[in-house]
Amino acid sequence: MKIENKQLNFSNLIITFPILILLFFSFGSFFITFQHDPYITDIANRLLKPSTVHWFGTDEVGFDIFSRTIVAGRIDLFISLSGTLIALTMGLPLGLLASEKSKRAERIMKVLDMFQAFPLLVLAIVIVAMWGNNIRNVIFAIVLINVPRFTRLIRSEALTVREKRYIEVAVTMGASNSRIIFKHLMPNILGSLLAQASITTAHSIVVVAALSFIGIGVVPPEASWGSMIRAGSQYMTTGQWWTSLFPGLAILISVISFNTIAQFILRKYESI
Amino acid sequence: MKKLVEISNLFVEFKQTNKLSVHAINGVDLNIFENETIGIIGESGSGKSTLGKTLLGVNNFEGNITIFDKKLENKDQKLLRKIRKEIGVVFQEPFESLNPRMKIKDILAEPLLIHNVKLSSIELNDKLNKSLESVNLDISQLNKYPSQLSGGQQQRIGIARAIINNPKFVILDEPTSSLDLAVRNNVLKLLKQVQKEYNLTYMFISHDIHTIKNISDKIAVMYLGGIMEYGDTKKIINNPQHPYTKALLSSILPTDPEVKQDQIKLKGEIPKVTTKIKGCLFSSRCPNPTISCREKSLERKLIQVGENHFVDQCCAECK
Amino acid sequence: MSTAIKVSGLNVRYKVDNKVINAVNNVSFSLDRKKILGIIGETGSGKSSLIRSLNGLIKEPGIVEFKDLQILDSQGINNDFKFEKLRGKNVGFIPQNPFGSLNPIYKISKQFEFVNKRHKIYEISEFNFQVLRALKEVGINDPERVANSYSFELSGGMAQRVVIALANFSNPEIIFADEPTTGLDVTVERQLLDKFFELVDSNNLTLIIVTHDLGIVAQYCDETIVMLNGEIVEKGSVMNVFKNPQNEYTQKLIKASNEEIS
Repeated sequence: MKIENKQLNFSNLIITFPILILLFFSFGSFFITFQHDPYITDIANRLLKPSTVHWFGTDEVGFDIFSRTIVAGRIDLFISLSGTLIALTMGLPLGLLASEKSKRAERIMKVLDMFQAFPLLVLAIVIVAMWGNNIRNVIFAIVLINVPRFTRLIRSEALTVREKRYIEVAVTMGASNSRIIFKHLMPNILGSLLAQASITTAHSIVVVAALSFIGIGVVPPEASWGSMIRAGSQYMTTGQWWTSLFPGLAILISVISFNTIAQFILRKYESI
Repeated sequence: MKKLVEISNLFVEFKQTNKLSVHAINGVDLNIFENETIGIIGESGSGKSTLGKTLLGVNNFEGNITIFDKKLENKDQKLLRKIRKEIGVVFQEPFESLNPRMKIKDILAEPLLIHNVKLSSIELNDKLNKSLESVNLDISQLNKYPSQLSGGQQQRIGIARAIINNPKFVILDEPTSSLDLAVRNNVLKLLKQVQKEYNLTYMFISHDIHTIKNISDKIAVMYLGGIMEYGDTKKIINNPQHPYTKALLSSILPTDPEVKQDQIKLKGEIPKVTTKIKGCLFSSRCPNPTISCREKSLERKLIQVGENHFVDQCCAECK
Repeated sequence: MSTAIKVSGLNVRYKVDNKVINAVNNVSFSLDRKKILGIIGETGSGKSSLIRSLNGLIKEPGIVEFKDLQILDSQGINNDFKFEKLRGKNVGFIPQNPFGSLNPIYKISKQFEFVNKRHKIYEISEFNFQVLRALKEVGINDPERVANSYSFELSGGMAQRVVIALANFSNPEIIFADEPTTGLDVTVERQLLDKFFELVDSNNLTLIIVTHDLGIVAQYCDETIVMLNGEIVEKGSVMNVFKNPQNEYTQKLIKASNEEIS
């Protein structure tokens, strides 16, 4: 077989855009001095079209939509990311243990089945509504929804890897259980795991937005994309298109960014 | 000659979920002597792979296995650990046997780490370098990943890993089956070289008669979990006694177009592995079965028919 | 026409990740009817790509080019060849892994039905009879049971026999086989190859076998082609090539297969 190298490899550049965008949303609010404070209302200047003064226009109480979108990004991304990472940290050991052929593994799966018999999103809504609208509770909701998901995912990946011959070799060489888990299982599911974490974050962004859309979790005057969309929704039909559009676009771009990152991770991972 | 492994009356049964049992090994007696290469040959369902795995303690068994003068027990983890340090394993499909995300140096070092061999980093490096040299590989391979090596190189790593703890005994399960012909011969040569250098005993499991013929001192022919014939390689190849051995050997295709080889055809198919067979394992396909073949007791025995040449008792009595 | 197949200037390339892999490079050969050709090659020689390209089975990212291709009475020039006309009817293909080619959700008889419907081979009235005949022809002693089974209920040897029966179902004039006996027990392999041999004689069949096993070629084939890195390094009658190999690689192969390791 003869192999010829024909073109430059552009595929690695693709990842820079999503990362830049997400970094901007996450930390931009610390570095940009906004023209308008995102928390100060200005009724006199409500519902202004996008202009050089207000780049994204203003909403019904005069909030500057541009600055609020950026600040909301910080909050929404923080919640989604930390919720996902906490769920991952909890789901990983559970999933690995559940992939063994032991009574303990069976027990874990039974508990998981019981847990997932509830519609977890509804459960999350109830919990946040009961315990109060703050960031900590929304993170809790995200964790609740995603721990079962991660556990199952990791378990199924681990089961696949356990069938591989090099695991059999490790066992016949006398490797301990922990060695097999840490040296053999984990490195081989890591890539898929990170990709899934990225996708789950994207999914969580939508969940957080959904929650604040129905008025739970992060609510005004705190900035959140979901609540911003809600606030602007009544004006969609009366011609003030900018009120819901920009937070909506922000969600869209964030989700696409995380999904792109996930694809990139998978591709890099599989190429070894 | 010293007996390294003594197997008597070995039975291995796997219980499946549908309540049927797979009778993988049906009464095996075998002795493996120091510094010899014993070739285990058989077709699919013969139990040859299971035999190797049982010696490694991977599955439960009934019967007696004595390795290095220690009696193997089913659940004795401590003993198993001690024994596993002295046994090396090489599997088929070299790429599948190496963790794709581990560097070669970590793959080689693993047996040392598992058995707590205390080495300084200089000593470790030295040992890894020597290990690669012993399988004719360049030390630059240490920092590579398995996917960067060819099939032959990967299998050499498998061999290096198997012997890095200086085992006495190495079990090789189809180590050359997935390799190209020239590569295969090189690996076999290497195995012989390494065996001499380190005083190893080999159990070489394969379905390929040509390979087994080349590397083994003794051959055991397995069928349906039992040994049909056993003895010196030359005797088995040149003077096979059991009808199954004869049929197997006749199936080889000579690579000289002028040499013809007629196949001895066996009637019927290999029976399902889930049926418990009464009497002689081979009776359903034997060209000359007698009534007593099927009624014999389950105890399988090898009867001596010549110097270093044994055949299953059912066949021996037929003659 | 006495020529079963004629290939001229065949190239198969794969475009993967900005790299181009030349799997088959400028291959030309021809074969008369009722002959058996053995294509010998090791891993990476391009033999599988070659035989798949001759059946129109190469898809993106693979590209097939040739100057002239003639299979039976069909001809194509400059990359244009209508494989659909021949497939399943006059040309049979036996793939390498039987379980990969048998759909596990359908019974074996159903797989025959698909082939029959697609190429309108037999009338419904005689369909069942033909299926049993095809299975018996490959040495299956209980064809009714096998026809009623699913592929996962069969052993490797049985599944391979079914795949051969499928390829032979329409009584094709030429059969391409890609490593048809690799992975099978040696006793089963012999039986299958003997069956092939019989079919060549009884059904006027032309056979092309791709293999890495020199024994198969030496014992069953009339002609042979030796491939290395996508190119033909030697071709000719089996007797000539095996007894008097001209190319260094061929010599190496033959020597290796006869080698006694001491």
